Amino acid sequence: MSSEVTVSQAFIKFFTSLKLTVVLLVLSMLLVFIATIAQVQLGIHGVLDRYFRTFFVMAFVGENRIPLPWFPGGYLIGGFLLINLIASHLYRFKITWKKAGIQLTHFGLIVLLVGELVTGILQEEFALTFNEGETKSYSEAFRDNEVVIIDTTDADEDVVTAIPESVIADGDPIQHGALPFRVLIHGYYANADLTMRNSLPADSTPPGMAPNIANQGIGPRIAVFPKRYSYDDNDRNLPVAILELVGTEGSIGTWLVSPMLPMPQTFEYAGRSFRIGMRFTREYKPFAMKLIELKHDVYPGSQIPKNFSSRVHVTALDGSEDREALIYMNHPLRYQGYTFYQFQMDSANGMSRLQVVRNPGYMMPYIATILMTLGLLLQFGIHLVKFTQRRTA
Amino acid sequence: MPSRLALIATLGALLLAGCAREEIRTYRVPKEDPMAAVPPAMRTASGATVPTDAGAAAQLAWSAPAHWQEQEASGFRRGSFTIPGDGGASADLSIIAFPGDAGGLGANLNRWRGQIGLPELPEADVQATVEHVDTPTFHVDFIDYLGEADGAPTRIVGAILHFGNESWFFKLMGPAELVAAETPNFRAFVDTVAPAPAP
Repeated sequence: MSSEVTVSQAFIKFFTSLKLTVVLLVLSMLLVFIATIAQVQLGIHGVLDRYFRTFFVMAFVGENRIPLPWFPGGYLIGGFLLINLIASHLYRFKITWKKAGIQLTHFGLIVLLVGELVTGILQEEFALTFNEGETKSYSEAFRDNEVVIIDTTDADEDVVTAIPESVIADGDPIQHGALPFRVLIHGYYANADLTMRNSLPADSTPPGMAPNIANQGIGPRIAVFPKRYSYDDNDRNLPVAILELVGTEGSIGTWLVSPMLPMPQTFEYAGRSFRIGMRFTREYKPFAMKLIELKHDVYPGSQIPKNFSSRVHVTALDGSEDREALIYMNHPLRYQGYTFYQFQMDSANGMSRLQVVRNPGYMMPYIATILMTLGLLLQFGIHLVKFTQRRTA
Repeated sequence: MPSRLALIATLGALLLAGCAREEIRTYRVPKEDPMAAVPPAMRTASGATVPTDAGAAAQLAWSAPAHWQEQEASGFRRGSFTIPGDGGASADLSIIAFPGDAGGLGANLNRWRGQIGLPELPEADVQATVEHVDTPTFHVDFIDYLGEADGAPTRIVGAILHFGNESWFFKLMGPAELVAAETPNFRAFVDTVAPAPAP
């Protein structure tokens, strides 16, 4: 029993120590520094994933690219800071009126740290692209892709089985309750160029061409040229996967799928119709949005954009909402926890793209800043009052 | 000690949060047109992007029914046929190739629609008029429009395919009756379209 107490006391001593705070603050400064340097190569999203929204910054060593942690990541440093802060408050600080400002400032800091964690885990960012007159009830991911196998047998509904790209990248055979066959992954390239095979010299294998054993759909007519994964924010990586479906009686066929091949590839199996493909990860919503009109105004006599706006009609599937909204610069539509910003526009083709963001923690940085400001004002106020009292005394 | 428990719980929650993994999802959606999901810029027949360094001058070959009269290909035309009908009527088959997606399938189909007095359609609707067919060599977009030109019922049966760096347009246009009668021949003709053997 006594040893248990010492262990817990050791824990408390470690987590409430000011030394830990200083070490963690120094580590965070170093992390920001190395991440800023790395951003040149990785871009903002790559850095966020590899340095901040991770427990460890990994290095890949040797030919087999063995992952080795070499620096604490943002979650580890932030998590320890959070625990350090909370533990210190519980054990060290006493709640007194004199220290109320400091307490409040620290509480604001806790809200800020928790807010970043909530954002890191729960924030979703999608794009909704539609043409004038088009209605959509889903948005698409900016970077993520998914393989979809869609059972189209039913007259009214499609049953979609969506396999995230990360599961495909693992390469393990996939057996899923909703699919009457197994999915074997014979090839996966995180980024590739595709070419029609008949545009290449016959019977030749140009350097860099990946093996393609697809024997169904458009696959056999495609040549795949894998290329480097790009961390540039302006580039979109276009993956390719070669998938074999195996039923109880053996192979059904092998398909090549990629978001670059949006034309549907279909097949029949066990009396059911299916469509297979790879697309930007979709998120279906309980409401539909129709683009009624888009506007791209320019200042008279120039091509300088003055205003981009999309007039949309929102209809909830349960009938609870049926209204129009105007979305324009700095005036997003907030609806059902989502924020729709005007993002891009191609007025010549009547196309508008909205950025759809869902961040349950979006208010937390504001609350944290208010709390910290109030805390500092309170603390300085108390000191000022004391100072003036002393002078008058 | 409750505080210690809180500490361990916080650590555990942190670790769990870091281990979130993407999973396979299954869901039902109302039936949708697969073509509607194809971004306008990618609504080309094959859907494939093609490199700029290969096949710039790639040629196609075909074999036409005996009664079609081959004309000299001139201007934009890569191939040209006149198809005679009854009473001096004739239909014209033009074969044209443009680089890339030639401004998009929708825009081109609307151009054709305009030639026989049909109204322009929004992208999604014009896409719905396309029939997708796999020939022995290509994925082909077929359309069949009936309208009016010079006061007479006129029909356009077209096929669009992508080869090399180019979009190829096969357009059979003429008196409605004659084009209707020649449609099976036209489809059989498109089936024979294949890359030309190297010279």
